[in-house]
Amino acid sequence: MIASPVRDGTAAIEVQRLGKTYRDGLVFAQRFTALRDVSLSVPLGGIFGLLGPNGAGKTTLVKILLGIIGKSTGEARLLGMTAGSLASRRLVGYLPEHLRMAGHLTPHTALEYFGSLAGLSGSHIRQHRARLLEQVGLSDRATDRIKKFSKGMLQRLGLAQALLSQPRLLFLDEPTDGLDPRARAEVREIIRTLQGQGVTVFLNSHLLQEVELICDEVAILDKGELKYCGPVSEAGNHAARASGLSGWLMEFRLRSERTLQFPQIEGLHFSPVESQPGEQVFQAQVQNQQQVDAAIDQFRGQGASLVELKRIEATLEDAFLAMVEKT
Amino acid sequence: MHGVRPIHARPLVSFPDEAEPPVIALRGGSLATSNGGTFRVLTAFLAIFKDSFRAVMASRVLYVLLGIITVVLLALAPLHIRETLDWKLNPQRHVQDQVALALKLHRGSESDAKPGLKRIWEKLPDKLRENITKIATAPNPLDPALLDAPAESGNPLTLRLLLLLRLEEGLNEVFESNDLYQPEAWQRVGDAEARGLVEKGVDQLTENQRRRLNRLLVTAELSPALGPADQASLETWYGPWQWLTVSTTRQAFLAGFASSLSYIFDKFVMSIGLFIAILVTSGMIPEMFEPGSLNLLLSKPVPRWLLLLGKFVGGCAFITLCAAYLFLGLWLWLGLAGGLWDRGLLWSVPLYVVVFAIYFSVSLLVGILFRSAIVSVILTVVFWGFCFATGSTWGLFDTRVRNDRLALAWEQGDALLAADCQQRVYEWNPDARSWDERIGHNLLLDQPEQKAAMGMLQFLIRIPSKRLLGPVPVGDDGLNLIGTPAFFDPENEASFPVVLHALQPGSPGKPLTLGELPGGTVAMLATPAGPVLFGNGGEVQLLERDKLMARLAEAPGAPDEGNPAGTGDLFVKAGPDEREVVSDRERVTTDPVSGDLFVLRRNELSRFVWNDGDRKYQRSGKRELSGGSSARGMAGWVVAGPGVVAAAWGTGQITLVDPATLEETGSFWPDRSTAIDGLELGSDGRWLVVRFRGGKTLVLDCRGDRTVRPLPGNLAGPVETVSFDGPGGLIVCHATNRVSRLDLESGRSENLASPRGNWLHNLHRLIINPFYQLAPKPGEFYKLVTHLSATGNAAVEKEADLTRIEYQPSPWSPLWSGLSFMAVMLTISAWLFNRGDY
Repeated sequence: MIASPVRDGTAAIEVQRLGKTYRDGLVFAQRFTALRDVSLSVPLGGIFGLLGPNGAGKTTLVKILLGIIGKSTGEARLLGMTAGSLASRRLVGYLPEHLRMAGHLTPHTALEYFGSLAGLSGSHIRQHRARLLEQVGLSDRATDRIKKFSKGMLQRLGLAQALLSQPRLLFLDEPTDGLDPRARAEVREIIRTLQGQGVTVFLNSHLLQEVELICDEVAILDKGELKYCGPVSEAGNHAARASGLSGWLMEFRLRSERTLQFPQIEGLHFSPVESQPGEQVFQAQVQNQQQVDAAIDQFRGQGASLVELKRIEATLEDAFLAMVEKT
Repeated sequence: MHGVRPIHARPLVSFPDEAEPPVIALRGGSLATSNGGTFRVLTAFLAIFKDSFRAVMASRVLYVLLGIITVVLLALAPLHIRETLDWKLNPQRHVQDQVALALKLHRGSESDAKPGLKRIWEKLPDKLRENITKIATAPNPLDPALLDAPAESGNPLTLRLLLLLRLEEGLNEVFESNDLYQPEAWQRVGDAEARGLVEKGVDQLTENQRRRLNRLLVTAELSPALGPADQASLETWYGPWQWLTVSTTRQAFLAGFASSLSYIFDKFVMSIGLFIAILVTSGMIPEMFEPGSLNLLLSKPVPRWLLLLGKFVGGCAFITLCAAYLFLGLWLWLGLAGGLWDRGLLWSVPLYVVVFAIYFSVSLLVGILFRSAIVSVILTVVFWGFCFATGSTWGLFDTRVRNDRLALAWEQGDALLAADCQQRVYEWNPDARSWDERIGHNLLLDQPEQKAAMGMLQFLIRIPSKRLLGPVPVGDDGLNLIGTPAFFDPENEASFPVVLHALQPGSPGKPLTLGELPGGTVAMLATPAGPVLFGNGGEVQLLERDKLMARLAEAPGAPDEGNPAGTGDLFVKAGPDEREVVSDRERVTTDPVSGDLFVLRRNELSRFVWNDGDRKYQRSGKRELSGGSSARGMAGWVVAGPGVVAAAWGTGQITLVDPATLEETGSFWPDRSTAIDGLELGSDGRWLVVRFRGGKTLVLDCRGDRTVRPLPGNLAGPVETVSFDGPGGLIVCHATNRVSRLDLESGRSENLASPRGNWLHNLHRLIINPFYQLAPKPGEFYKLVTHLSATGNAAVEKEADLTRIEYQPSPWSPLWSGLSFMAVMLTISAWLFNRGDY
């Protein structure tokens, strides 16, 4: 057994001021910037989500990290090695978006082919392929031609080939694309299992809920610029801060037979959320506890009774839309 | 085991062999078996190769192709040849002089001394006998009236062909006769084969055997005017149906067929196969560029060039499979149906794959650039067309330029004269720095159609060099006699007349055309007694100078107008009584000093000396040379000078002989693989120059240390021809029509003529040739197959006549240039693929 080439404490992905400009045409070349000064760090062993609208530069970033395309500026390292180098690619598994495989392959021969390309020995491939195919639910189709496969089956096979080399870092580009809900759940389980085994998963997905469900950290790209990179739970606050808002959003649920007036407190603006006979709900962006206390006092002064007071957390979708829409 | 949660009652990801599976450690485990980078690269390469092959095996195209090949092979299978006894007359090969044959036949009507000849005469058709009788008794045997030919078509060539046709028809009737043989007419049958047939009983013979007997009997009577029949003729059969009969032996047919087989393979089988191959493989690279497929491939730890190379080799493997099936099938068919087991032809398989690989590399590059199978096919086929056009244009121009090259140059006083391969004679004009034509083409018909045809032939046929007779000086006033053979049909020039010219160098007048030389003239040589002709019957005729001068004083008739007198009256018979029959002018020579005549027949050297008393040559010695080759049909050369006679054979061996004793004094074999093209001996007999095909020229000092060394001096371009001017001065034609004088002693050379070159030569040299050199030459690969095939045969045959093996200056060059081109294409493709963003 050889020693791991990955040093302890090394980030799984380290990107510094990464930029990519495409050039189209030979003589009157047009330039298009797909990535601009992107810096991020993905810790080892986590599940990292990359979000962004179409054309944000997500696939460009993944392709640079995998060496499929070259960078224009900046630095990128995978597991402490130069991104795109053969050595770094040996530690990486990849499931591309819109995966296609030659129709003449079968799951068995496909794993043999891609495993050999990954530098695996024939015995290693034979040792692991049956189990992997069973895990992705293709063991009963192991010798069927791929050309008869559905999109979902192809995705499963793609996942199996990505896992065959037992990668330290796994890039999944829209892994649940084309899968039914049950299969999506299976894939999520696989990802969590891998995380449990210390594999870093880099998830590129349009499905915000999916990312929110399984990712520890997330990055949001828009028009080639990094809008956010950090814990999923902090994305909302970040979005709010990015929108120029301070404090937090509070919701006041009050019981009163008559229509309540907004409390008159400096710097505090209420908005009605819900109103039904006997119960009214208001929201306000508060800056401090004094403002909350003052608001409660004024509501009570009007004869209202406080039923519920809660702090509203922004969802990832809210944060995403806030960050992306803003630009 | 941790982090594994079962779904649908089975684990999702598990590594049961590993407790607490650290992923890196596992990877390390897997890599440990891979044993380093080389193994990984090899594994990846084999995987791509295997995948390409798998793709092919799964494709319908392969099976369609294999099906087509099977159908072709099955269609060829019933085609086979059968050998039968030959009896028919092949006029081109068996009759050298039609008039001589007619006259010989006529002797059958005159004499009872030859009962066999008389019997043949009786069996000839009446009409032919009438014609022959008229010809034999008329002053001009080629009078149109004698052959009932229209007066306007009465030129010598037409009349000869007409007579030949009549003789062919008449003699074939004689061969088919049931009762030609009569024991009283042939009391003694000399030919062993004929004697065997007679002894068998004429009534017992099959029809074919009887005709064969007739042919043998007639040949024996009419020889040498009628050449011997071939041993056998070949019948071509397709299953039970006979298709074609060829008058040749199986061995000769197969030898000829084998030499052109690689050409047939190349031009027909390969061309069609190549197009199909390009078509079916053009999609391989564009398919690879489909994004979902390419991104996964590029993410693997494999260098991009390796991906490309793997795909490329995989495509080639597919074609190898088809080519091996096709060519092995053809090879088996040739062996089983024709008895031709030439292993050299199997080289077609790898070489065809290389040819395919050249185009596939272009297809690869186009695929990377345009990522479209259709564009790949179109541009690859366009490139194929470009290569074909470049090769064809180069071939035409090269042939044309070679035919313009000088085949002989000599100095006459202050004048420098030369003859090109087309038997045109030029004189150097130093003021204009160009060659002025003195004697043009020998146009027998001199009609516009013939001139136009000849203009085309100059581009199409590579004419063998040095076919001129002479030049032979007459007297001391610089007058030269030169015989120019007909331009047509270089292979069968003996069938056509040679026209004799008298040229006075330096004089502005046109050379005088004296008329046709006697039929069957092999050589015209200079002797102290004057110019002599050596005939194909071994007879010598001496020019009567007085008659020549008288003729020159008259207005001579041009050959195209039909000179009734010809030049026969200018010469008198000059022996010898014992003759040596040779038909190759290189096998006859004279010692310019002593005048002795030497004839090399097979490996027998005969010496004839001039007897001033009866003005005849008489044999004075004959010796079988141990060093030479006695093989029939072997090329041979002989040159003579004071104190030395040098003989050479097609095997490449050279033997030196003492002219006085005919004892061998030395033997050399300077090059066993390149055919000799000519021998020249200095007038003092010291320097022997051996010229090989392709321009290599060696010099041997016959008096010194007798070592063979290259020609000294710096000459531009390959040596085309050399001739001695005095003892040690060599006139060398080199480059394109440049002539230099080279002093063999000092190695100094002096430029005598450096023509500017015409537009055609310059176009070839500056534009067509560079293009040709750079482009791959797939159309020439058949030459390499021929070379490999011929090399194999030559190795088996100890006494191979190198002159019969097609000369390939560098047979491997198409392979090297093709591989270089392919390497460049692959490098560019790999570079583009490597730097591309996908």
